Amino acid sequence: MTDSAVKNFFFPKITKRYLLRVAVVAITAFIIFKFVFIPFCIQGESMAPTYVTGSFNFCFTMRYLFSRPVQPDVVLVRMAGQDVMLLKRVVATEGQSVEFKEGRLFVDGKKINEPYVSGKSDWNVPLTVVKPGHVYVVGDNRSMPAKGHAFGQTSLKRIAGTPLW
Amino acid sequence: MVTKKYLTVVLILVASGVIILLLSVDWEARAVKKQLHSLAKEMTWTPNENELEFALRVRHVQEKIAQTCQVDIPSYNVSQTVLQKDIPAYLSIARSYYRNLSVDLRDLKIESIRVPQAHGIATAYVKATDAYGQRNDQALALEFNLQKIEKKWVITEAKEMQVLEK
Repeated sequence: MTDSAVKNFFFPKITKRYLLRVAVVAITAFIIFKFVFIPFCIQGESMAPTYVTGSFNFCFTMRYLFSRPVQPDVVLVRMAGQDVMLLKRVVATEGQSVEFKEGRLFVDGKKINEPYVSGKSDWNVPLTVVKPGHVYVVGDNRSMPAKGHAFGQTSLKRIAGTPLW
Repeated sequence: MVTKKYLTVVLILVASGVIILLLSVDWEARAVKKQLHSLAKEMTWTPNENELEFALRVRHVQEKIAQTCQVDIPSYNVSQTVLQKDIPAYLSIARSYYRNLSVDLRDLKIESIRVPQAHGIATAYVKATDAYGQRNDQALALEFNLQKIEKKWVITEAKEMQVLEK
């Protein structure tokens, strides 16, 4: 790369064409990162060890445009808006029954193998049937007390998307 | 002459832009948002806070709450009608229970406003440390009902929205 090329790259001539290009890139980036790949930072340990606090990711909002979340998808649950969302794993879908016995997850009475869960758990949650249009979500970190862990069924309308990785 | 003409056009355009901007802003919604953000700010304390600061904060909170306010926040086992005169007592209890606390309102949206009534939703990000030093951070989806009384928006109801149903 010659000196002039480097200079042109860092200090381009401000022409109409250049300004138009900058505007197109800015608008495209705004649309993509505002509506399609929403950046977020993870705070909290409820999805540990799969997702740890402080890590960065994107919420892919188009993931459930033509399908519904199924087990064991990781989803983002919208609260009042999209600024703060809950990161949880889908463990059951509508019509299924969910139960925790001594830390083990049972869906429709069958014990579910959960390789993403590490650490001992003593959760006991009575049987619940997932309502129509809802999914049952729970975090991977079951070693924390069930009382301090946000989990349960949520409306599909609240599912904002899925983490990109 | 040409410059003067262009300058006039530019001035008219700028003036129309400013007028459109001023007209398009919902000043009542802005006032409601400001009041809620201000309340969240008042619900923040540290162990270093002295009694004078506390008293001042209590007064500011009282000014933002209606004579009677219905509070339903199951996450904190709160479901009751709070009287404005009882706020100092409630805040004292909260301060003795939580060594430090901060509330940040995100995604604040005014869903409907028809003076003197307003309805808004927000996610309250609460960072708290209890008296034993244990962290208890929570994100709560809240809805608020407000009423305009004597040119001031006051909260008449604060309710937690159920995002996850156990």
